[in-house]
Amino acid sequence: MAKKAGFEDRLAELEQIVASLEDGELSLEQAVEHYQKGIKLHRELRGHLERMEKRIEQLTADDRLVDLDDGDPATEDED
Amino acid sequence: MPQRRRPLFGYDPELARPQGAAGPLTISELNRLVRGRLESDFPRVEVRGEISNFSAAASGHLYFSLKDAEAQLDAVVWRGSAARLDFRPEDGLEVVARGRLSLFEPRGRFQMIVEAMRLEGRGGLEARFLALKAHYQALGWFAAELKKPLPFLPAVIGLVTSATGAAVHDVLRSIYDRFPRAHVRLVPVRVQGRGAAEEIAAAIDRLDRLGLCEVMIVGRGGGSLEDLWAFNEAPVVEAIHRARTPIVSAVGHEVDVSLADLVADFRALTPTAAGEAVVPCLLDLEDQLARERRKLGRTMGDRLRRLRLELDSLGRSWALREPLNLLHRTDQRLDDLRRRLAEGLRGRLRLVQRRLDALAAAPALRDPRHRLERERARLDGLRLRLEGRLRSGLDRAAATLERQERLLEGLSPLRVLERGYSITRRADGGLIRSTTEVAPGDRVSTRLADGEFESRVEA
Repeated sequence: MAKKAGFEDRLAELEQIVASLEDGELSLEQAVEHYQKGIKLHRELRGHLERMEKRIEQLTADDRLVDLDDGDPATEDED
Repeated sequence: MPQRRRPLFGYDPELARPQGAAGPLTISELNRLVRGRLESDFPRVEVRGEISNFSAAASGHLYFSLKDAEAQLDAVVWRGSAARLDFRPEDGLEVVARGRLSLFEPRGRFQMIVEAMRLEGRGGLEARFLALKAHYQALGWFAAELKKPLPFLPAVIGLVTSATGAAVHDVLRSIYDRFPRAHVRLVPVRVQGRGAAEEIAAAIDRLDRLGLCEVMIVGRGGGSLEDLWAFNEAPVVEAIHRARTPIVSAVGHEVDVSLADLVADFRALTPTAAGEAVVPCLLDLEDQLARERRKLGRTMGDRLRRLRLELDSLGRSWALREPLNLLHRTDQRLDDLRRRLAEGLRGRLRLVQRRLDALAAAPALRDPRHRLERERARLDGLRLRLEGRLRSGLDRAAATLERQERLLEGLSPLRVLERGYSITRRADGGLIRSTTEVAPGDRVSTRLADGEFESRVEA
C-alpha cells in the first residue's frame, strides 16, 4: 500500500511550485518547467481524488474481506 | 425458610453422626458432613473483596482468593460461569462475588463457588487504572516521540469497534461527511465483557500485520469505567503499542481517558472526532486544488503577458529601431544617388572614384605591401652588386685568356701558311719534308691557309 510520495507531500509540492512562480524569481525556462510540473501534479492529485471510491468492507474471522452495504453493518448486539 | 438453626461446630452427637454409625468419624465422613452443612446453610452469599493469587487453569476454571485487610477466602469460578463474566479478573481488582459456599473435601478447605462477579465501585478500578498507567508510563509507552503521524489521505481506513454500537455509525458518518469516497475496513469486535480485550487486540494485530489499512481507528462509545475497561487492559495497550500502523483511539467521551487513548498515536475525544482526524474534507481539498490550479495559470499568464509587453516595448525602443532607420536612410541615399545619376552627374561620381582610387593607391594605405616592395628592391640591389662583382672578375679573366690566345695564334702553323707557306703530306698523312720522300705517281695533299688540294707527283 506504499505510495511513491504521499498526497500531502505532492500537494505541498504543488503549493511550493505555485509560490515560486508567484515569486517571479525564476528564469523563463525555469518558470515554464515549474508550470508544466505544477500542471502535471495538479492532474495527478485530481486523478487521485477521482479514483478513490466509497467502500466499506468487513474483515471476517478467516481474513476475508466482505463488502458491506452502506447501511447497517449489523451482526450481533453488543453494547 | 423455617429451618432449625443448629450450631455448626457445637457438639450435637445426634446430627453430627451419620445414621446408625457409632464411634469416631472418618475424615471423609466429617468433610462430607461439613460440606453438606455449608452448602445447605450458605446456598447464596454475596461478598466483597479484592482478588489475589489469581490463576486461570487450562481447564477453563478460575482459581483465586478474595480478601480484605484481615481475612481471605478461597474462590473458584467454574468454566461455564467464567465465560459469562464481563471482565477479566486479575489480581488487585475489587469485586463483588455471588455464589455459594462449599468444601473441597480432599483438602478440607472451604471455598466459595462464585457464580457471578462484578467489578466493585470506581475506587478499585481507578486504583487499578492508575497502577497500570504508572506501569506503562514508566515503560515510556506514552512518549510523544513514539506518536506516529497520521496519513493525510489514507487509501484505506481500518476500524476496530463493535459493529452494532452507536460508535461505528458516528465514525462512519463523520468519515463520509468529510470524504464521501473513503474506503473503510471494519473489524467487528466485542468491546466489553470477558475476552473483549483479546478480541480487540487480535483485530489490531491482524489489520496491522496484513497491512490492510494506512490508519486505524480503535474505540467504542461512552459507558461506565467498567464498560470501557477492555481499553485499559494489557492486550489492547500492547497491541496498540506494537502496531506499525498509526492508530487513532476513540474510547468513550471526552471525560473518559483510557490507556488505549494514552498509548495511541492520536486521541480522538469522540468517535466523530476520530472520523475527522483520519480524513481531510474532500470539498476543501478540491477547493484547494482548484485554487492552486488557478494560481498556476494566472501566474504563468501574467508572466507571459509581462514578457509580451516587454518585447513590444523593446521593439519600439531606439536600439531596435535604429538599425531599421539606418536601413531606411541607406535606401534613401541610394535612391538619391540613382536620381543624381539619372541627372547626368556621372562625371562627378568618376571624380569621386578617382579620388578614392588615389587614396587607395597611397603608400600610406598600402603600407605593408609597400615595405615589402622596398625590402625586395634592396635585396635586388644587393644581388645585382654581387653579380656585378663576379662578372667583372670573370671579364678580367676572359681578357687575359684572349690575349694569351692571340699570342698562341701567332705561333700556330696556320699563321705561317697565311703568309704563303704550305704543308704537303703523303697519302698516309706523313709530312713531306724532302723531295726524297716522294716518287712520281704519288698522291699528295697540300694544305694552304684557306684549304687543301690534292695533286699527283709528276717528276
